[in-house]
Amino acid sequence: MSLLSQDQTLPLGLDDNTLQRLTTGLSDQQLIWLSGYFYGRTSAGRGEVQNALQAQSAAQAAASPAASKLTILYGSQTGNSKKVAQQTAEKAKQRGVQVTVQDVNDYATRALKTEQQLLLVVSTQGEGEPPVAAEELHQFLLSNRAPKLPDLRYSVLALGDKSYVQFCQTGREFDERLAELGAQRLLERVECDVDYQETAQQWADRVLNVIAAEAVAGQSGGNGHAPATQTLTAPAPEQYSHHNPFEATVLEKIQLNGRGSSKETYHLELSLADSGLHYEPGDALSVVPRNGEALVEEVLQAAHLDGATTIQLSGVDFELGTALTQKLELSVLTRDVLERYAAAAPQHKALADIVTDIPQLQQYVYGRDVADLLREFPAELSAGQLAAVLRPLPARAYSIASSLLVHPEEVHLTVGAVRYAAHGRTKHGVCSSHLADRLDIDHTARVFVERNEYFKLPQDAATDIIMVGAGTGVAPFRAFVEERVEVGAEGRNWLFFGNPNFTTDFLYQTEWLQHLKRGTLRHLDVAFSRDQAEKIYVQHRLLEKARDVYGWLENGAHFYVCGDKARLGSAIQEALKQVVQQQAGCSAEDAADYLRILKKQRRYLEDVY
Amino acid sequence: MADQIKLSEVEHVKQASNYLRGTIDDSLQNRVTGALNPDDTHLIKFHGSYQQTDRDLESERKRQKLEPLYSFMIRVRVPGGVASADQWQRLDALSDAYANGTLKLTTRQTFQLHGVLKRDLQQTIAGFNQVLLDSIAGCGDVNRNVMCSSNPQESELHRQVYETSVAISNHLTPRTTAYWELWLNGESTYSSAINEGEQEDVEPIYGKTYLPRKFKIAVAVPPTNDADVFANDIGLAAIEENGQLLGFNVAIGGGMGMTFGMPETYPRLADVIGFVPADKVVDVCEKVLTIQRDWGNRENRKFSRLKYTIDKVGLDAFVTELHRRLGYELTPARAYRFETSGDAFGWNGGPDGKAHVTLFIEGGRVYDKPGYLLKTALREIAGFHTGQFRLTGNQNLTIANVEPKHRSRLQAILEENGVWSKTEKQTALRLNSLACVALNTCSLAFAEAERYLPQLLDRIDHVIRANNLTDDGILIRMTGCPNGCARPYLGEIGLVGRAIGRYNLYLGANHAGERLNKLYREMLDEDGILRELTPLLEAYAAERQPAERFGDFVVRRGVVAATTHGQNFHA
Repeated sequence: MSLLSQDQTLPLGLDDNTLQRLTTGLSDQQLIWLSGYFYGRTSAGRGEVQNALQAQSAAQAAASPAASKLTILYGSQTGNSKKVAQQTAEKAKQRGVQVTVQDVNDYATRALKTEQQLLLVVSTQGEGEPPVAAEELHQFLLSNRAPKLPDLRYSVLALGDKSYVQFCQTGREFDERLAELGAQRLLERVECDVDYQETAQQWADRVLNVIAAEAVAGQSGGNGHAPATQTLTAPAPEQYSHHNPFEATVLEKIQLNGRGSSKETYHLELSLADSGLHYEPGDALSVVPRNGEALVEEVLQAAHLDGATTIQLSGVDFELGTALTQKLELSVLTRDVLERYAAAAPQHKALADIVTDIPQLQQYVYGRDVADLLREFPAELSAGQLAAVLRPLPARAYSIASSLLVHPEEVHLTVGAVRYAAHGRTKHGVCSSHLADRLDIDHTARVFVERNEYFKLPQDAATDIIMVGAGTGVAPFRAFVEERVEVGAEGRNWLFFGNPNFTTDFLYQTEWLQHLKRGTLRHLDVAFSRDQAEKIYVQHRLLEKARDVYGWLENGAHFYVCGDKARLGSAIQEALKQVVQQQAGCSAEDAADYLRILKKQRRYLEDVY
Repeated sequence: MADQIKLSEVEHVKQASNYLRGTIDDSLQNRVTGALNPDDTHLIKFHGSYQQTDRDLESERKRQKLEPLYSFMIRVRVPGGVASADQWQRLDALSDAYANGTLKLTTRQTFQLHGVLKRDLQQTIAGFNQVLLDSIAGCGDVNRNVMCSSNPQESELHRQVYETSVAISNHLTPRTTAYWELWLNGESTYSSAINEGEQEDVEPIYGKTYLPRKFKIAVAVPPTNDADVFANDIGLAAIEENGQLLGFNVAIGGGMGMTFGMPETYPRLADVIGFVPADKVVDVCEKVLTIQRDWGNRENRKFSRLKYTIDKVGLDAFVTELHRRLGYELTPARAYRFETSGDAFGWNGGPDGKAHVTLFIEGGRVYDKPGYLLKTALREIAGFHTGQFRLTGNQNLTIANVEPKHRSRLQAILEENGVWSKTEKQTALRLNSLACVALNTCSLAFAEAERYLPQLLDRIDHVIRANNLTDDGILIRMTGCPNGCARPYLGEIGLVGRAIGRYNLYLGANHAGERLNKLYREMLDEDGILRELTPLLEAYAAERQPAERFGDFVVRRGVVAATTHGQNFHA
């Protein structure tokens, strides 16, 4: 049959027979969907499949009951929350929900009172702090100025990292506070570990189902139905991820520290040839590591288990040895693992005490790994029980040290080998030792790109940048400067770098000296902490250059910090406040405000770990 | 006239340096490199230091994206090579604190510290100053450390000669305040006064551009020529009468350096031009030096030494000018005789009941290794020794004026630390060996010297022992390049590095430092050196005349022709 009545004029080159041929076998529902799809394609003027989704929702919106208004806020540091929020918004649109998705950084707090449905996707930083973007809302909501919100329905998706004790703390605080203020949960809070994607998708689907169900219920006799979940997916470029990493060949591996150094830092160059992988300066490369043979052996012995025993992980069979090598975290202990282990080995009262006392717990996990736990609190667990106690082996993200423009189809990393002696054995950072000890030129590393939404070069190439990097924290700045040189950015570049010793630990020294000579680096200030009796760090150099630093900031410079969170993050913020206080001649409060505004404007950016 | 000359780069640097300041201060403040600004690398020499790199690590560090491992050699000026126990202790401590833990005793009686990082330069040099030592004019286009025979037995005569060498040294030391300003945090107010034009550094002898090239003076007391006086721009041989110093025979125009492939460069021994009474010797040195200042070549540094100035104008013309500037004439040279340029090892008694012990310091390197704790032993000795530590011109050490009550204790320390056997149980060949630093720090080196000569000697010693030559002192000298720091052209056996593992072999210098050697074979590897030397040593053992030295033997046998003047060195 013909869909179009005979008297309608068909466009040139399209006759009834052709239409018939194209649509044979399609159901009515499919044909309606296609009409919206092609309308969307045409109206956008481009053939991108993405537009199909808009068209689809447009088509559905037309057929849908009274649209509910939904706001999705994200508080993101690395961009993960943003990604989840946007995916959720897409899903909502497909279901015909009228949705606004917004960065919490740009959200006017007073609008909260007018919200009806709110989804909040928020991560937690370090020791339980909100991401910079969410600081203001967090402060506002937790203060006594927060309004009552009896009309609000909401749900929180909390992103976090279980290796931190204050796991998902910010999400919890938002969730509980909103409830206190009288808001109603659409769905209980969901918490995600580093491997968040699947859990986040489930949360999105569930909470949108609730919203859809309520919309239907709100319509008398409505025949609203959840639309067909997905009929057409975009043929996205291959998505590399933790579960589907790209096998990148190691092209070059260089120990960057000179002889006699206390540090062991590697420069790795990996091939991205034929991957289609793309990254920008500031992004991270995640590496899926493997545990070292010695540690796996140590764990098997401590557990009195045979590596050949078959176990199941998410319904897939593995040999225990393989699972311990490739799938499960062994080198660090986290709260969740300790909790599960304590539950599985209730005979250890002391362990139960540790688990319930956070200071004790923090002290216990420091420097200990799974083998230590198994030896100190022996329990005859089965292979399956052990596997169930352990957490998945997460990928490790490294700030990318190269510009794709300068090194096409390559990605460079700066990896510090983590090694220390604790509790009777030498401990190795799982990924750094994987890269340092077990990966040579021509081997492959399993990798995927992780966007860092905010730690990016200024949009305006004329903007000056000040970069503060300590140790391997210099990595993204190598990428920054390479990129700025390549695109001919006229903004000035200033690097502060710190490490223990000048002669051995000046990472990428010859490259920086070249940049300095060519003027592509305007200033280079270095602090080598162990070259003199008193310890001198980058923050001291920052203070020495207070006048110029302040001048650059006043001139609109962006300020970047990368390195160890505990050692660098707060020290630089303190130093910068002093710089401002001193140079602007203002109070400590005003200086703190100055810094807060810089953060808010995304001109003070941290990539600390 | 001066405008028409195309001055060498270094001349411009000196001219613009404001009496050796340049931008050294700025270089020292620059934390992002271990190097100095390029121009300052010339100026730092006048302050006694060379910028060097660890050449062993060169390619490794390049790959590591690290600049070369820059460090500094600092040469401490010690006129006549005489240091007190306090000074020894200080240098020992500074070498541990800021250098590579070793002290190098040089062929010109100075101490060298190696491996000092830029950031430690000031503290190190300030550390010298606290024990009244300095490094000014240790290197650079100035008069360097004045050498003097270290043999202390001569008592009164030696004392007078030594004092002469100190007087010459003091008179010819640069007057610039830059040294004090840069290294000793002093005189900065004085410096700013200069900027206001109220006062200016004055170099009454040198002027703003100093000399065209380095300048060396040595004083010896015949019959010992341990200072190798003829290898110097000015060589002085003390003339005595009844144990009292009368004056000096003056020789001018010596110098070792040459460049491979440039036969117009050559080592040259100084020509004796006459006798000067002791009270006029400083004046003579000054006038020779200032003629060289005015006449020396400032266009091409390869021809800047006094020896080329003299050969260009002719010795007579030079001496005429000298007499003109002096206002009097030198008298004819007095009779003298040099017998050896080597050291007398072991214990020797002084006339006052005090004793002296001369130790063999292989390669001049004072360090510790298992079984041979030389540095430790000397540190301990410096803790109680009331006499001096005298550096010889042969990189060795005399512990002089040992009190009788200290002698057995000192001997015990030397034995316990494995030091004594190093002097006692060696072949005379090894005891008479010299080697320059060469790799890994000297930028000029083509080949190893100090690090390699001991191994080579292990093999040559077999030949020596097999031919019963154990007690026959033969001067063997090795350098890593042809510039001549270990005076290789005065070696009875001279080995000069051409490339890694390859040496030119020179033969036929005389044992007293009065005749240069001559090229015998080129580009020998270790087996080649042994192959060439073995039959010559065998023949020497079998066929030498009574008391005939190896250098004389090979000339007599026609193995090489005698070099009678620098200008026929290459002939």
